[in-house]
Amino acid sequence: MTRRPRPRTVTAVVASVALLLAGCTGTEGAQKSSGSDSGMIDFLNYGDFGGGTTPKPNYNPYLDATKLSAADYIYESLMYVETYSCKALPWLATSYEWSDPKTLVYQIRPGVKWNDGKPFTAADVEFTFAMLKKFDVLDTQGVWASLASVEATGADRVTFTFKQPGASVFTQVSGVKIVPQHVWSKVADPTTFVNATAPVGTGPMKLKAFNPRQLVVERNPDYWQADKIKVNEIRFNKADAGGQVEQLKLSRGEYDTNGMFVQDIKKAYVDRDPEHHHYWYAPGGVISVYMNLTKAPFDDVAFRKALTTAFDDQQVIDKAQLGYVTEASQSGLVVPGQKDWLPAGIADEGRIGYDAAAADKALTDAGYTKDGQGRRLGKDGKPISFAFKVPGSYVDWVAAADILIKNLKALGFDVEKETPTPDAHNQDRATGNYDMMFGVHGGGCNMYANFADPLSSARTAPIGKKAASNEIRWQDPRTDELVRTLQVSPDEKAQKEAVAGLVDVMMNQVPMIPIWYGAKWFQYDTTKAEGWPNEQDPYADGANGLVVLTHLVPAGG
Amino acid sequence: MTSIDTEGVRVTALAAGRVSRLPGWFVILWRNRKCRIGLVMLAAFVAVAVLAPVVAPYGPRVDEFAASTGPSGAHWLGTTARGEDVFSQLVYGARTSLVVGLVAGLLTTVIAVAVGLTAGYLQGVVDEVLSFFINLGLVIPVLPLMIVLAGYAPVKGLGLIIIVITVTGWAFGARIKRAQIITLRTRDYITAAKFAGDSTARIIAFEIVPNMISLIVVGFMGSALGAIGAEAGLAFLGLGDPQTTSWGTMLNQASLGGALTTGQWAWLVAPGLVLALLITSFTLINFGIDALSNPHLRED
Amino acid sequence: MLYFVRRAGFFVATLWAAVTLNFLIPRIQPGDPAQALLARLQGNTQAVNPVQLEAVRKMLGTQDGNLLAQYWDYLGAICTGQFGVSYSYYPYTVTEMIGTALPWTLILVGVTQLVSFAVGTLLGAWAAYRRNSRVDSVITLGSTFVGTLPFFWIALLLIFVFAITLNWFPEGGGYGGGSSPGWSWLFFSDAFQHSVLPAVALLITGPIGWIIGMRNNMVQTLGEDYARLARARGLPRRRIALTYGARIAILPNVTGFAIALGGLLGGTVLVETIFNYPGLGRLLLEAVSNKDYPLMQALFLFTTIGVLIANFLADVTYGFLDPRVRRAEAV
Repeated sequence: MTRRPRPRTVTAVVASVALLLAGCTGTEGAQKSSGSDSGMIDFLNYGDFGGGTTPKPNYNPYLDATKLSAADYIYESLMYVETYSCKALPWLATSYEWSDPKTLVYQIRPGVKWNDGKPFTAADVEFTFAMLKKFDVLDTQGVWASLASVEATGADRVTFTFKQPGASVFTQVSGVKIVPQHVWSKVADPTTFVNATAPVGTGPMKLKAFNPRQLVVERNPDYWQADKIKVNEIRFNKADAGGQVEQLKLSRGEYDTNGMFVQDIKKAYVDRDPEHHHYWYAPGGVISVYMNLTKAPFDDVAFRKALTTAFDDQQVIDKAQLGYVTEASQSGLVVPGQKDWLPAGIADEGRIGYDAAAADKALTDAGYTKDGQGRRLGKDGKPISFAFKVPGSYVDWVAAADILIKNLKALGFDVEKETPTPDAHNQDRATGNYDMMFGVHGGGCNMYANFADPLSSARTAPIGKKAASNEIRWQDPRTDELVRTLQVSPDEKAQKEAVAGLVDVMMNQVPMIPIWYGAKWFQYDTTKAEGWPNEQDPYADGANGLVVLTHLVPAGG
Repeated sequence: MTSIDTEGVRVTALAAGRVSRLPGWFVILWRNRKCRIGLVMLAAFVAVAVLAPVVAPYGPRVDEFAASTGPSGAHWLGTTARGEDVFSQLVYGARTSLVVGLVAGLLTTVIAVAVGLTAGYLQGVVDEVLSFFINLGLVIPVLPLMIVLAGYAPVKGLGLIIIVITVTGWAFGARIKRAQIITLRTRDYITAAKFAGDSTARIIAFEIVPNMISLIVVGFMGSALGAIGAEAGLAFLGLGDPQTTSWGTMLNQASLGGALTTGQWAWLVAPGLVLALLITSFTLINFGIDALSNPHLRED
Repeated sequence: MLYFVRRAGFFVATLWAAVTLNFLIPRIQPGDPAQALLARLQGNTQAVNPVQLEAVRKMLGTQDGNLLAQYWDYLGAICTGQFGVSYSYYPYTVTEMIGTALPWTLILVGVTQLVSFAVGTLLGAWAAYRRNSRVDSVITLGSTFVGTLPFFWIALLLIFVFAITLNWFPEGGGYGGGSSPGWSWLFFSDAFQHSVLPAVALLITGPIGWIIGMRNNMVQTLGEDYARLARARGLPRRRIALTYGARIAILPNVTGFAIALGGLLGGTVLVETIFNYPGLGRLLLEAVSNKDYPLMQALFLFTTIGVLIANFLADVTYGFLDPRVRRAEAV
C-alpha cells in the first residue's frame, strides 16, 4: 500500500483551517482544552450518544434501546461487571455474600449520595427492584424470572431471595441500575418516563446541557469516589454524518475516544499521530458457522467435526475482517478473557487451525467420499450441495462467507451463496430455513446465558417456528443437564465443572463452528487523557465507560 | 405534452425510407445532429456493457489489490476501500444501468400502454376504474413509496429494483396515452374501421397503436431514463442490492468507504459522470424523437 | 358543480387507498422492530440477548393477531390523529418527532422551491421571449445539461469540494453542537451556515423543470392565434410577451408548483440524507431502516395527504380559472 505524502499535507491544512473556522461556527468541540492546571482534564470529546438522528432527551436507564448514553454515567448498579474478564467490581455495594444458594446479601456502600444531596440507602435498592417487578418491561435483564423477593434488611443491607439457586443470574441482578425512591416513586408510569430534566443518580457525572447535536455531562463533586474522577466534563457528539466524516473527525483528533468501525485504522487513524492515537479492539461475541442440524449431512457428528479444520480462519481474519479480530476458540468461550473457565488439557485454548488435508481425510473416513469428478458425496451417494446464506449488506460477513465457501468448494462441496436482506436472513435463521449461515452467540459475562442461549433445547423450536435463541436446533440431553447444573450451581467450582462439560460438547459434538470474535470498536487519544484500557492493561474493555472514567488521568501528569 | 402529429410521421418516414435502405424512422433520427451524437453515445455504452469482461481489466468483485489507492497505471481510477478496481466496477456498472433502463422501461411502457389504451378506448366504467388507479399512482409520492417498498422487500436484487420502479412509474405514461387515444378515437379512419365491423382488439392493435408509436417510444425513453436514475438513487441510499455492481452502489460505497476523506476524487467523480453521460445520450436521442413527431423541429 | 363533487370524491377515495396501502406494506414483510432497535445499538458483533429482546418487544407493544382487527384499530387511530409512539424514539410520540423535523424541511425546501420556481420561470420566459437567440440556447442547453447530472452526485461533490477540501462550510447537520436550537442570533447564523450547501445543491437542479416548462408553454402561447393577431395589429413585442405569453403560460407552472410543494417530503429524502439535515426526509429513511412502523406510516400518510391537498387545490383552482376543464370532465 503506497501512499503519496500529499494528501496527508492537505488534510493537515484542512484540519488547521477547521480549527480556525470552528470559532466562527461556535462548535465547542473543536477548541483544545488548556491542559491540566489543577490536575484535572477540562473536558473530553466522546463519540455518539445514541438516540438516532433526531435525538430527544431520554435518561431513563431502563429504556435500553432509546436512552442517551449520559444515563450510563448518571446511574450505577450494585456491582459493576466489566465485560472484558468479567470481574464483578464492588460499586454501590461494597461486598456480597451468598448466605445459602438461594439467598444473596449485598452490603450497601456507606456515604453515597444522590446528586441532589439526598443519601442513597438500601430502601432505594428495594424500591428499584419492586418497580421492575411491577413494570416488567423495564426488567430488560429478566431478573424477576429468578427472583422471589428483594428486601432491605437493615439500613445498609439488601437481601435477595431466589426461586432456585441464583448464582447464574448474579451478573444480571448486580447490574440493575438503581434509581432514587424519592424521585421515581412520584413517577406515574416509569415505562414512558424520559427523565429529561436534572436526572438524579449516584454516578460520577451530572447532566449539564443537551441539544440534538451535543450532550454534555459534568463532574459530580459529591461522587462517592470523586477523587478518582479527573475529568470535569464529557461532551458527546452526535455522529450522524456518516462513517466518512466521522472518520475524518477522528483522524483530526476531534474525539478523545470513540467506538466506530474504521476501514483502515492504522492508516486512517494511528499514522496521523502515532504517539497519541491508539486503538484496542477487545473480542465481543463469538461468530460461528451455524449448520442446520436437522438436515443431512449436518446431523452427523463426524461430518461436523471434520469441518472444524476446513475453514481458513486466518484468511477470514486478515482479509474479511481486516486483521481487527482474533481467531475464535472451538470451546465457545472468548479467549483469552475467559481462559480461566477452560478445563485443563485443551490445546491452544481450543483454537483449531486450518488444515484442508485433515478435513479431507476426516470427511473421507466418515464416509463422505469424493467421486471421479472430485465431487463430495453424501451417505446417499449423491453429491452434497447446499446454500450459505449471508446478509448482502454485511459486507465483511459476505467477504468472510466467500472465503469459507471457497474452502468448502475445495473439499468438493457444491455450495451456493445466497444474500438475503438482514431481516430475511434473521428470520430464516430463527425459523431454521437454512443450510449454513453465520450466527452470533456467547461473549457475555454470564456463563449460563452464553451456553444456554445457543444450546439449550428449551430455547429452540421446530423448523418453521421462531426459535428464541437456539437457532441451530441443538437437542442433546447431556447439554440440557449441564446447562441446568450451570443454572443452579451455587459456587464457582460447580459452575466451572459444568462449563467444562459444555466445552467438551462444543469440542467433540461440534454443534457449531466458531470462526472469529466480533470486535468491540474502541479508539482513544492520549493527547489530553491517559489511562485508557488496552491490551497491556485490560482492566475493562472500551465499552465499560464508567470504569474507564475512573482510570483516566491528565496526560503527562 | 404537446399533441403529436403521428400520421404525418408515417408519411415522412416512409418517404425518407425509400431513399436509403435504412428504416425511415432511423434516417430521420440520424439526420438530427444532436440525436446522432446521442445514438453514438448510447451505442458506446451498450458496447461497453456487452463487452464488459473484455473491456474491464479485472472482475468487479476481485478484491485482492491494495485498498483505497488513487489512480495509477494499474488501476486507472484507483481502488475501493475493499481493494477492488474502480474502473472495472464502472464498466460492469454500465450493464446494471442499461438492464434496469431497458427492462423497467419496457415493463413500465407496456403497463402504461395497456392501461392507457384500455381506459381511453373503452371509456365508461372501465375508464372510471382505471383512471382512478392512474390518478392514485400519480398522487402517491413516488420516492417515499420506492423507499418503503425497497426497504421492506424480503430479497434485494435487481429484480426488486425493477419491480419497484415499474410499480411506481407507470401511471404518468398511462395518463398521457389515455389522453392521446381519446383524441384518436374520434378520427375518421377509426370510425370507418368500426363500421367495417373490426373487433376492438383489432382496432387498437392495427389502427391505433401504429399511430402512437412515436409517443410510445418517447414514453419508453422517459421511463428508461427515470428507471436508470431511480436505480442509482435507491442504490445510493443503500436500498439496492450491495451484491450488484451499479453506479449508484459505487457512489454509495464511495461515500461510505472513504472517497471523501482519502481524497479519491476519481472514485467519486467517475460513476456520477458516466451516469450523467448516459442520461445525456437519452436526452439527445429524445431531441431526435421529438423531431420525428414534430416536422418543424427537423434538421437536415 | 359536478366537477367539484367528482374531485372531492376522488380525494376521499385516494386518501382511503393510501391509508390502506400504508397499513399493508409493513405487514407483508419480515422484520422485527425490537430486533432492529437492538441491532442499531450493538451492531452484528454481539449476541442478541433473548430476554432483552422480549422486554423491548413488550415495551413497544408490537401488534399481533387478527389483521382485520388491527386495520380497524388503525383506521380509528388515524381518524383521531393518534399515530402512536415511535418505536425508535420510544417513548416520544410520532407527532412529537414529526413536529421536530417539520420546520427544517419546510424552511430549507420551502425557500429553495420558491427561489427555484421564481428563477426558473423568469429564465424560461426570457428564453422564450428571445427564442432562437444566443440567450435561448445558453439557457436551454445549459438547463438540459445540468438536468442530466444526478442530484446526489452534485451534492456529494459539493461536500467534497466545499466542506472537506476547502472547509468553507460544515459537512452536514442542521446546526453545530455549540448552538442550541432557539431564538438566538448564534443559532440562526449557525443554522444558516449549515443550510448553504444543501440549499445550493437544491438550487442547482431545482429551476430546471420550471425553465423548460415555462419556455415550452410560452413558446406555444406566443404561437397561438391571439398572439399572432396582436402582433399583426402592431402591439409592441414586449407587451405581447408579458400580457399574452407569460400570463397564460405561467398557469400550468403555478399548479405544478402547488403540487411540488405538496410533494415536499418526497424530494427531500436524498438531500437530507446526504447532508444529514434534520428534516422529514431523513426521518423517513431512518424510520424505514429501523422498522419504525408508526413513524414511517405517519410520514408516508402525511406526504400523501400533502400531495392530495395540493392536487385538489390545483384542480379546483384550474376548474375556476378555465371553464373548459370543467366541461371536458363532465363529458
